[in-house]
Amino acid sequence: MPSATFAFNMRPAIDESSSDFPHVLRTPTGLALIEIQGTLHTAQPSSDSTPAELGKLTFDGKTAWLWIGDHQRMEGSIVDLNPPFGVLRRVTRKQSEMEEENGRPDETAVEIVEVIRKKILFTSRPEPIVNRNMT
Amino acid sequence: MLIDVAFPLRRNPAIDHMTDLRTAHWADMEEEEESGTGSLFALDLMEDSDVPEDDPSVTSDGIASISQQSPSGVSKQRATTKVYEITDGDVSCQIQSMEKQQEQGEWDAVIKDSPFDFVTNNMGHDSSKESPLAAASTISMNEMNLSAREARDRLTFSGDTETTDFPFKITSAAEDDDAAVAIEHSSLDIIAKLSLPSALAEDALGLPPPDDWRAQVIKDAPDFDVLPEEEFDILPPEEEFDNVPISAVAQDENFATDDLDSANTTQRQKCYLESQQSISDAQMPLCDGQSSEVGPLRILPYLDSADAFYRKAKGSNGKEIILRARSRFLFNTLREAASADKYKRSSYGIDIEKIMLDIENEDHDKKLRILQNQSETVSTQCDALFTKNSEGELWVEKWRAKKWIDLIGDERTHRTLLRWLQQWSHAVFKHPVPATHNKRHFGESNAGKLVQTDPYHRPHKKLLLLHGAPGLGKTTIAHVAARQAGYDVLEINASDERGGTLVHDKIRGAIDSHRVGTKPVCIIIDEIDGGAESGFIRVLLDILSSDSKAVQQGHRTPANSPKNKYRKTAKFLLRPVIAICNDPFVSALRSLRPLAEMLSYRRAPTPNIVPRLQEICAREKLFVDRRTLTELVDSMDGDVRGCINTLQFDMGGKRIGSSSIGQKDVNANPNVIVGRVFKVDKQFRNKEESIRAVIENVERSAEFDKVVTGCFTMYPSMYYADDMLAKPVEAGEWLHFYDTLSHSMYEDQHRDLAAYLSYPVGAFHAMFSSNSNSPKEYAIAKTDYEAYEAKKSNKDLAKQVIGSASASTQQSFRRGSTICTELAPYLMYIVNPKLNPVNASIVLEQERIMTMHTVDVMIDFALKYIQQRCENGTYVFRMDPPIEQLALFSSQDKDRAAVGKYLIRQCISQEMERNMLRRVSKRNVVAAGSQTSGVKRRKSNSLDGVDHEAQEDDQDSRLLHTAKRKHRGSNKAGLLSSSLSADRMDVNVIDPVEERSIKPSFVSFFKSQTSATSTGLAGLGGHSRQHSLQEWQERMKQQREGRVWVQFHEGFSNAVRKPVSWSDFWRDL
Repeated sequence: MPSATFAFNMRPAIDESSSDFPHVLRTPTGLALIEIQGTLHTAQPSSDSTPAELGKLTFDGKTAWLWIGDHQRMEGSIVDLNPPFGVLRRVTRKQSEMEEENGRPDETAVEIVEVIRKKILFTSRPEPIVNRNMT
Repeated sequence: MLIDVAFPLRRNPAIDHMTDLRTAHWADMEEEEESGTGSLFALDLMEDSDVPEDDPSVTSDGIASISQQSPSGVSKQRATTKVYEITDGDVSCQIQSMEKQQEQGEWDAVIKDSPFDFVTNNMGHDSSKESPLAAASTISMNEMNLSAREARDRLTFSGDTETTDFPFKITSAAEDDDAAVAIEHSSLDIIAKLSLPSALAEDALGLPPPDDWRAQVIKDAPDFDVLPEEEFDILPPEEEFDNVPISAVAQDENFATDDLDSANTTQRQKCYLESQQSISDAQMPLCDGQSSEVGPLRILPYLDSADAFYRKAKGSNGKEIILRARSRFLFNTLREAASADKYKRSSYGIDIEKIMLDIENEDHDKKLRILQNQSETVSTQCDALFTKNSEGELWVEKWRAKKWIDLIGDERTHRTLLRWLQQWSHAVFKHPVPATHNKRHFGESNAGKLVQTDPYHRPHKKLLLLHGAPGLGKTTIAHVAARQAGYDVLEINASDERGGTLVHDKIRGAIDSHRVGTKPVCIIIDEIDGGAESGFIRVLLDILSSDSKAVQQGHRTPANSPKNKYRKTAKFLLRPVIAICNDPFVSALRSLRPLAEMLSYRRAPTPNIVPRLQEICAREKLFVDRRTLTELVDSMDGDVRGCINTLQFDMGGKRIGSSSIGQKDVNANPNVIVGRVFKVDKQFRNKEESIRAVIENVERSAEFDKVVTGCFTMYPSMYYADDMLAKPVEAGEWLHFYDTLSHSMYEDQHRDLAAYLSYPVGAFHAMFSSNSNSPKEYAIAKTDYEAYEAKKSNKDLAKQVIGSASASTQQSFRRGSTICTELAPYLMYIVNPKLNPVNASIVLEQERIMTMHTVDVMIDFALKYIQQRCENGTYVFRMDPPIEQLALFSSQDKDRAAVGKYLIRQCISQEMERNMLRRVSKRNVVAAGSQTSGVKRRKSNSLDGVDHEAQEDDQDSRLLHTAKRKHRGSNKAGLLSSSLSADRMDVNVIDPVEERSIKPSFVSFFKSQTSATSTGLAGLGGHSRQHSLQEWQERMKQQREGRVWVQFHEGFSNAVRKPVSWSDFWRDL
């Protein structure tokens, strides 16, 4: 059975200062979990290098709105995750390092990048809107 | 118990001819009194006599001839011996009843129902005349009983001695008048004494040597039995007995005669005896069979002592047959001799003998009871009894046949039904599997294998569909037969039970549950045609299909294999199901018909029904004479229920002529009417009358269309005398006449023309009716409907084919008929090119072009090849939509069109896919190109694509117009230039020549134009305008490129919890 070393080092939040960020998103790496009941389509296939622009996410206390493209808006809420959601990252150490340590060639280590305790859940059907910019 | 053997008394050996003794029936007491003075014998072959019972003249003639002959000293005469024996049980009871009946002069009746077969004339005569017989007869009966027993004993232990020891009783050596007189005046005890057979008597009478035995053979009488070859080394001339009329044999309880040809001798004997007895009981006048066509037979001594009851005989034509002594005595001895289980195995597993005894006893009891009633009570009391019984009760129910013996009707059908039921006995009662000697095994002809593979040895078809006109007694026979075969009856009336699930539960419950203490159940579904819409039929189909599945499964794997443990197991149908309906050809039963054993129930012959009606009338104190009853039955068309109802409600005890009996309102089936049209009915004297009857029939049914269609469909297959197609021509005229009439009736509302609609049918009858025609019923109604359906589906198909074609093709083939005749056949030819596909890469150029062409055509007509798996496991490519259905006629051709072209079609379909992909990508490229230039997608190579493109470009330029119109006021020049440029663009775009070649240049040109315009605008107009235009273009572009949207899945979740293995987890990480 393969095994991996498991590391947990809670890093401080990157942007403690950016106060306009809502509390939910104020995680160390700034990762947030969004749940949509649907499929996202983009006209052009997005690559890793150039992510497609999805839209805006606005908050109003408990509720959140997600603007998708120019014509859709979804209303969602912030939900506690129980149990919380851990985001892991595999860290492959350099070969030389590992050889020095314990002689084993390929050691896989995993570290917890983030623990997400809240998610933004969009359950409702997207509302069709007319983009202000268009008119 | 009686043994009757006719033997010649040799008086004058020189004269060798035999007295032509006419056998006579002596059932009628009065006749006997008239003729009783002659030297009479109880005549053998009584039941088989050709003299009807109610024909006194013949009887007396016959007797007279005997009495004349006897004094004239004709050398040989016959004495007939009668021996009585009362069966051991019920002796006193029977004697009692006999006494009573004697007192009332009902001797005859007693004789018939008693275990005696008959009584000599003299005795009957005496007993009926002499009233103070009561005490004497008891004694004499006992004596007789004794004597008979002696006789039997003697027979049983003299079985191995000599055939002549056969115990016949010499009632009277009747060649001299003294003896005859003695007999006449003798009381019963004298007869009893005389009846003692002895060797002395034989000697004294000068019995002939055994090879002088003679018997009189009446051709139509089955009074001898032909034994199979393996037991006797002579060949029985079968053809002599083929003429034995079934109607004579087929009597009430005589359901066993069918097995005459079975291998088991004992059974055969029994069956034979059954038939004999039934004939004697039923007392049916035989058909006018001529006596002794076979001629006097030489009876040869039979050597095998075990078969002491058989005589070989040689007919005058030299044929050897075997005669058997006809006797119940024989029956009884055989019964003792044979083991009981032998009986059980034979004849449907029912102990017939026991049933017979039961019936006899019951009959006696009944008679006794009635007699007691009659003696005790006065007639008024009797009336009261009957009225009490019949109050509030329908006679139909009251006199419904309760037992097998009560059934009247088509005997063959009864037997078929019972045989079918018996085949279930292995499945239901765990009886041993009957040997397959039964010739008419159900389903043997087509699926003998299947029958054998059935693990329960059930009949091949698990459902029996009994159909026939209403009132014939279908329900009754089903009930009686089921009970006879040992089942309890569960009747479900499909007209009453409507709920599908309810029915399912009921049937399933009845089939699956094993009831404790009671008999297994047989389900009778009455009026199954009434339950069509409630899913009743579906329930039955489910059950049947589940059964067949179960059979197959049981075949493949053992039933208790663990694999099937959790699966829903198919269930066997282990109880017989009988469905009853009037018309099996209604559409509701169509799906059921192939799965069901069809059994048609026909009307009973009138002579069978009338006695029953007579009996009912007598018991209900209704005085209707035989003639009226016959007419009633005929007018009811054999509907027994209708007859009884008429008797109860219409006649009401009065004597009513036939004229006032209402005609039954028969809603005749059009099929039946068509059948009548082509059949000559002999009951009509001339043709005119029969035509009139046919027309009347049609009018009554009012199904003109169906009847005429039926006539039209059937007449080509009928026999008729014709010259030069004169009759079909005339028929065509009539059909045209009919069409004109019905057309104007329904189109122009000329309703009064309906009166003439039936005459074409009459014309058909006049032209095409013949004796030899027998149209198959079901062939008629379907063809028309089928043609209609086929036409409809073909029309739809044509529409589908043309609907996907291009507009120009649509225009040239507008109508369905032109598509079928002009487009589809050629299209068939075009899309099936003659190619020799070996490899897609190694094809000739010509073939490649052909393929490409085919592909193009197929894409244009939206034809596709769909891979399908055939029944035999091979794969074929079928065309979709199936245009071969339009182009080819026979289904064979259609199949052939697909088979054997697998490679070509595979090749084409691959090419098609490739082509489609190419087109799609091309379209995408073009679309992308047009997007960048602001021109929308265009069709590359279709002609109308150009127009489309031009239109779109127009739109675009119009957009430009609107954009510019905003700024119209500010800059006229700019507007002018922009509109000019727009015009130029249009010109460029619409240019249809060399469209393809100019495309890239065109795009770049357009681009440059646009930029030129904008730059021009920028140069001419202000900065803001140019900016707004650019911004707008930018936004449009952005909108197209960076469009993001969510497709919402309502009520959808693909969240599936599934286990992920550790290695999988790490691999993905």
